[in-house]
Amino acid sequence: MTTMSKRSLGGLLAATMCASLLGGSVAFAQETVVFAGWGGSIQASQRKIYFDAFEKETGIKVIDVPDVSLAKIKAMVESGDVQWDVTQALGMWIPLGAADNLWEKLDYSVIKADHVPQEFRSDNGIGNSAYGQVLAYNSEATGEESAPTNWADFWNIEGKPGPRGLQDAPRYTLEFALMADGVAPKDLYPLDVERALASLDKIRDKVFVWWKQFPQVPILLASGEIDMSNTSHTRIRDIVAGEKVPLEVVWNQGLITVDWLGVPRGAKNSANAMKLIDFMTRADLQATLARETGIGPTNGEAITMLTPEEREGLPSYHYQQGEMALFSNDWWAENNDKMIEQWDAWKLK
Amino acid sequence: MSYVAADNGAIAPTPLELGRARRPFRFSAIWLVIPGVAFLTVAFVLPLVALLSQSVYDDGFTLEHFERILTTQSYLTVIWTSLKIAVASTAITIVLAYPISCYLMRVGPTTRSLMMALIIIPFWTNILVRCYAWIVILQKRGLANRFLTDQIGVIDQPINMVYNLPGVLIGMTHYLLPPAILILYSINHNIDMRLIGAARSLGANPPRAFRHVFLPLSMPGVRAATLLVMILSLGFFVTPALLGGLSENTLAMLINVQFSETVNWNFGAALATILLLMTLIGIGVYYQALSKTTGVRQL
Repeated sequence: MTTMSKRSLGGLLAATMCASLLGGSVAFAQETVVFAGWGGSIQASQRKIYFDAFEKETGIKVIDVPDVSLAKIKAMVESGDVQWDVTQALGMWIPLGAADNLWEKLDYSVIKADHVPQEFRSDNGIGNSAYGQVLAYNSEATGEESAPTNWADFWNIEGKPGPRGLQDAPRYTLEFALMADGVAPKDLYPLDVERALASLDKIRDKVFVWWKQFPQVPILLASGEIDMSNTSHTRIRDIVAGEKVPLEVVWNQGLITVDWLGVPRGAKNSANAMKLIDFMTRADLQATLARETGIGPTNGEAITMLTPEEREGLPSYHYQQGEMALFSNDWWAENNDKMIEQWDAWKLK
Repeated sequence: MSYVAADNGAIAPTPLELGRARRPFRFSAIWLVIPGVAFLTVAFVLPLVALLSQSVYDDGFTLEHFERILTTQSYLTVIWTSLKIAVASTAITIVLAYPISCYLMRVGPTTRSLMMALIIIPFWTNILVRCYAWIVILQKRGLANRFLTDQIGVIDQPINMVYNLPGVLIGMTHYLLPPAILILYSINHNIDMRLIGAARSLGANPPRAFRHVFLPLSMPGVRAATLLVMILSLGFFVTPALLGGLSENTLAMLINVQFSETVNWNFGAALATILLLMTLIGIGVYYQALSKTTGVRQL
């Protein structure tokens, strides 16, 4: 009896293994590409607008996973087991990763990038979604009188009273401090760090909330804890649409930051990765994503497909109009570590 | 030195150790710990060693990362801040948890179950959610300030309760209370209350009976709870980040930045090593102090 059941167990095991092997080979026949992004509502929109359409058009299945980070990309490339084929990346990750040789060269014979401005593409990656790092304010709390129009107004706490919030981190904040001190947006880089910190010294103890996480800002502004703060334009757009609160964005002297797409070195489906990147660079799709989420397109053609009202809410448009400064990925890739150290020293002094 | 043959023929060096020698070594017992040890070795010790070794290995052996930490004023300030926040939140937690654990011993089973549920439910809530909830309660126009200014009018101007040290301590104490209460209660409820009765019958008044009988018996719980809470509180980074201001910067926050933001793992590993050493030294000093006061070495 015992031997019988053992034998049948063996048979069952063998059958299962055969089945799983077969199943495996069937799965291999299906072409795939793995996309790693931020997750959340942004990725849900990407799924709807880019990935579903890509699957329909090419038959290549897109597996999208959340929580991309340069640390994980680095760990994957160094261990030789690269799970991701296309990754969303903070702009500065492209030069940072290039220094560690983390990126595959993009194949521009597959990716049609003619309408993407030169500054948004390189061998290691291509710009895909633009954000505005901007000054935002609660117009009900400030009234017309204290409504800010530039960073000098934000620094002028006596002239335009009201509690302020500012990000407790050097990136963007140093740029804002320099513009408040009179540096023209086009002359920002290389940053004069000493001048920026001296400018910040003036408001250091008067800023009501030094916030750490972006989701804090819409709540702080909407609840009236603070009247104005730096933030990204999409956060404001989302809460204005959802909660009908009187928050306004100042595009003037904003920084345009661009998320890029890159292919980690050793990606298993790099050919499909190029196809997906080409797809995500298409003007019509970028325009659709912009309408839906307010995330700015990098493909210049996409802007022409939008109505004037739709353009008004996009950093790409205001950048074209010369109101915004381009965030320098290269300068920050070079100096990020040093700036974080200096920032810690500054805030604790 | 005299040697004594034990019953089973084993030679014990002194009669004092006879008891241990008499018991034959039981192989069966060792199997009970092997799965746990094996799991911890593979899943915890090896990765930990691999990670921490990066603090001294960056293209060859180097101490530059430790040098950078120990010679930079702001990092020393951060280490001091972390210690200060950990000690303060641990002290507040134990002071609040102790009476609650005593109260739990005195109430009936129904009230106790209800209170246990109230203590444990917040324990299941995500720490990020709790931080944002505290912001809503403590902020300038939050529930607490509204109550104090509008409802009972004890103050005219709202108090700054968040984005500063008090905010961090409130958030951390809230997080640390459930484990502290549970540990204290698990030890305290085993104390034989008849001993208190005996002390009373011998003429001790209630405070005296508490101080000389109950308090010493409850010290193992206090020690265990203090230790666990202290270790937990040294590793906080979400709470000080969200509820603190510019100066509430902890080691754990720096480590988080080095691993996720600057991707400087060597430097991050050096910071992590310092945090680990601080914790171990803290435990060592704590037990040393205890063994001096109680005269017994307990580990």
